[in-house]
Amino acid sequence: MNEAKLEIRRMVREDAKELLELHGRFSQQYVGPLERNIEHYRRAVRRKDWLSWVATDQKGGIVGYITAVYVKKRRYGRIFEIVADPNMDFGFVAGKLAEKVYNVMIEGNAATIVAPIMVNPDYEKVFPGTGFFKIEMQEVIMVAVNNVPRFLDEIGPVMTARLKRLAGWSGTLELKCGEHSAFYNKDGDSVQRFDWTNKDADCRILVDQYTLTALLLGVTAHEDAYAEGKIQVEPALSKGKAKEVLGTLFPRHQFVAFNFW
Amino acid sequence: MQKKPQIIFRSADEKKDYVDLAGVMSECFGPVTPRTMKKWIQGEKKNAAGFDRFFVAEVDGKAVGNVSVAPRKLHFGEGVYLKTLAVLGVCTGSEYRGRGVATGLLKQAMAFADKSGFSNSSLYTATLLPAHRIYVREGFRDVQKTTRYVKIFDYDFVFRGWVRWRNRALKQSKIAQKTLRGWNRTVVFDLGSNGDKGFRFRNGRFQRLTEPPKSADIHIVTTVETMTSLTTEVYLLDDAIKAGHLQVKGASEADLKILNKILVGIWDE
Repeated sequence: MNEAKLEIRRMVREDAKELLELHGRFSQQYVGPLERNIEHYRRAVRRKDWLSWVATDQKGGIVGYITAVYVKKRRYGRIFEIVADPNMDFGFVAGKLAEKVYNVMIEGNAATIVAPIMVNPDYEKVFPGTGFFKIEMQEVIMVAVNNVPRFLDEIGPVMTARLKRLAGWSGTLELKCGEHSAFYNKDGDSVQRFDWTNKDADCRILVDQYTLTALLLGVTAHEDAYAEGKIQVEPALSKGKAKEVLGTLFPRHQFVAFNFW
Repeated sequence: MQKKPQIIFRSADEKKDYVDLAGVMSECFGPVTPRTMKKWIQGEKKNAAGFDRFFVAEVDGKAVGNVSVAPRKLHFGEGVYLKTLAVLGVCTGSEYRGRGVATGLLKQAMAFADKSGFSNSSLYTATLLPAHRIYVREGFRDVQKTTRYVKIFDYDFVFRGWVRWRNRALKQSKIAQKTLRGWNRTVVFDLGSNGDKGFRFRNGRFQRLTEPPKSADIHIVTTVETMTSLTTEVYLLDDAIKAGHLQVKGASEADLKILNKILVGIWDE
């Protein structure tokens, strides 16, 4: 696709469904509690103070969007989110959209522009080049696991999907979190989850619920957790094998997205 | 010996709590009208987060603290998500802090999460806030800090807005009013190419100085980037001084402590 042929136009009410689908595809890339529904996009169109623009390809399909607000009285502009089709170059699409909104805000005599509060490493491709300075905020998302057995149960589909990708290993894996365990039996491409077995697991991963959450969300590197003893693998696997198993189960994501709470 | 007042934790009552809670919320998060509060409790007007349920702490028949909860999705990448119970708007009136009100409210929210079938809860806060310690104590762990990109075109306008915002916050916070009682100083910031900006605190309010005086009580040399980090609760004054991002002249230890609170805008100990 010729990326130079992007068109930027205002978001309209009829785009809502397509935007939600686009967000659905985009959300596969991030971790965190960001949510969108059709009403969110309808509101974005309805709100007169919002700057909501979409990028379309040559066929008119939406490949990205931006939502922002400009508060004229405070001369304050804030970009809420930039979403791009995962098949497109994020830097290119986001750059075009950000430029559009940026120019509108400049025309409105903005005193300050604040770009999204998300941890998307791709924003590095968009903002620093245009004179924005980066602030590492003290704002933080915190998670507490209230019910470990239920949590282990809920993460079952995630673990199953990831375990399927572990090539060249078959056997029983036990994920032990405190006193509670979840078992997975991997036989080739098939993975079965079960609650208990009288047989010893071929591989047992011991981890506390906090480290497990951070690992699942990909905000802690499994190498660091392993080196610090926060995660243990039994029986002791070779360093290379342990790295492979943990790397497949806990891939590193960096893009954490938040709702505006 | 004075008897310890009883704190009652219960669900919010839309008919009687909204006025008290509007005051409490205003103290913590900026102005909230009783009308908006009533709509929030009734679930009519949802903010961006959408409150689903309110819990209230009551002392002597008055609502003094509040927490709300709402179901959310916690994405794990690959299109997979878990249900999470978002804990929102935890706040306690300034006169009732340090008595376990927030802890009690948080316990209510966590019990509700468990009862409603949520395996986990999540919240969004700042590590500099005193409440962060309470969250850690109650089992919450930091997952990820956020990043913000900022571009400033007219710092004079930004500074004017900041002084105005300080006065609004001061009006809402009894702790701030108490801390600043009797503190009369003129503070000038030398912001290099952005010029000098200054304020004076007198008669219980901040006044922006249109022409910074030649001699100020406190003279600070820094940059717009550091000022932005300080006023957006990223940096503490002490840390900025230690890192060499800021030089202060004419301020005593007590002045620095107060100045830090003014800049960062967090008044609790």
